[in-house]
Amino acid sequence: MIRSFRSEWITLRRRGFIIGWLGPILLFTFVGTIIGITGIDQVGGDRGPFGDVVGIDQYLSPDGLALGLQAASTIVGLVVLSLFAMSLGREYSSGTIRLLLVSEPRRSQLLAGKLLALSSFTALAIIAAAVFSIVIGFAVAPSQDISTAEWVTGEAVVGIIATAGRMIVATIAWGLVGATVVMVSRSSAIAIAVGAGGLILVPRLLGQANERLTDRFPDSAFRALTAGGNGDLSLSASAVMTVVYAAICVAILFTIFRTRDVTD
Amino acid sequence: MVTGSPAISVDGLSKRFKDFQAVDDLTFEIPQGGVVGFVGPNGAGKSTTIRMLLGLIRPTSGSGQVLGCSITDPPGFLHRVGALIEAPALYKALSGADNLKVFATLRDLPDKRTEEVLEIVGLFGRRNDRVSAYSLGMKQRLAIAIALMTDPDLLILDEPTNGLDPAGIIEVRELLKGLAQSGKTVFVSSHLLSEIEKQAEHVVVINHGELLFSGRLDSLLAQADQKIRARPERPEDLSSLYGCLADAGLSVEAQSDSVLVAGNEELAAQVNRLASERGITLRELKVETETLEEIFIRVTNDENATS
Repeated sequence: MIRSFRSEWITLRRRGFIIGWLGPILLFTFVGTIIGITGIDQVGGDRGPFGDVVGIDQYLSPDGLALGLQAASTIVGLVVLSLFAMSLGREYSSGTIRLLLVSEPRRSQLLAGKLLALSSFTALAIIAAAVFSIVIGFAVAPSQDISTAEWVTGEAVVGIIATAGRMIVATIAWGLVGATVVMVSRSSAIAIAVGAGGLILVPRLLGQANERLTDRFPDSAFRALTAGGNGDLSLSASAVMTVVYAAICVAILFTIFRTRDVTD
Repeated sequence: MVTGSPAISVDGLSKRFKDFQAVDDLTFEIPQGGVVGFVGPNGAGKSTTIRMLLGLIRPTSGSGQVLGCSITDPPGFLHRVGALIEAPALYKALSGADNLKVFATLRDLPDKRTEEVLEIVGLFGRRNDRVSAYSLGMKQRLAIAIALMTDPDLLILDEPTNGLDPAGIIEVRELLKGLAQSGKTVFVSSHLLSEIEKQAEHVVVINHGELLFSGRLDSLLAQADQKIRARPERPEDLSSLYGCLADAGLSVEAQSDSVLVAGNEELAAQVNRLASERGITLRELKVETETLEEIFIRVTNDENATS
């Protein structure tokens, strides 16, 4: 598994790949942080399926430091879903999967190493996004008359570290969903469409008819986990749901990868 | 160099994809050492067979062994096998050297080995160029370099000369011959039968997933039909020549400017004599032996007719 991990990192560490995937993550973190701060209201409010308006009180608290990162969590999750889907899909479409399996016929170890490498790339990208969000937050907050006095406390630092940690778990779960759909469908395009349409739009449309339904979908669990729990799901409930979704994905991934003929 | 137990043996190997029987009850053995040609038209089942040998797909029935290990246990033998499966599958955004490092790392080989195989395939000077900038021939050589990484006992190469220009084909042929001379077994599939004829000692011929021939190339070529081509000096004598040979009970086939008579070189003198008796001067009289390609077409046509 370690050899597979190190081998995968040779493909991940090239400049084009890093710019191509870290770039969108930082861009959406920038957009999320800016929109969060400039869209601030005196009191928090509900924007329905498009999320909550964050009240100024939250920004003035130590938690305010992490709000920009949280705002970008869903869209960054989609980027990571695409990253996993396209990385795995590329191996099938280019035929390199055949040579990889001839070089490492223990399929579970090959897949585990690849997923671990992609997960570690994701973790590093989220840490970079967290740092970027902090920089943007400090730069933009004064323009909205938001005091950053509470953002330099130990509580704020612990808060952003915890948020980044939870977001790493949530985005890796997004990635596992992408990897699973591409493994089933053998198409990166389908995986991304399912991710964007099936996991975000459909639950929110269903939520219009029955609000309780929305909370059961992965998107809700992953968002709530990043936020450390929200009005719909507690931290523990969202963590359990995220782990369950991730475990289901891993089970499907490994079962298919170990047993399916490689005909492409 | 042929030694010991078979490099590959399959017994009743079959693979069915839903309603399509890709490989049907295939049984053959190939010896260790030398180049073995795996021949069949497109869709004959060559790639499916190779994928079963490499553990990429599971047989529907039958069994097989590679270097003495069951094909159901790929980790048992793949460390001694190098493979090129169809078109060269490479990471186009990576350099040639980095492509090799991906597979060297996966196999836990030292970086030094990547330099060695780059030298062997003649790509050391272009090792830092992106693969997307490589010609097809260079990609093919890089794919062969990946197959050589472990210094394998057995190379399984699926159409390694596909898309190469004549110079590239000669390069690959010489490379494979050299590897075979160093004691490796090279199992190479190709639809370029003239290539197989130039390098293989053994051949396995399949069509519609079924075995047509397995054995030494010279014993297959021994089945070649011979024909005598007779070309009259004056084209207007062609029908007269055809008539006299047919009247003598020979099996004659008319061509545009010559006739072909079924038979070996001992018949050439009789053809010459018959033509002379009819007052026909021959400009050309030569014995033509079926090439592997012609034998292959005849054998596969025979098989098509009976199936």
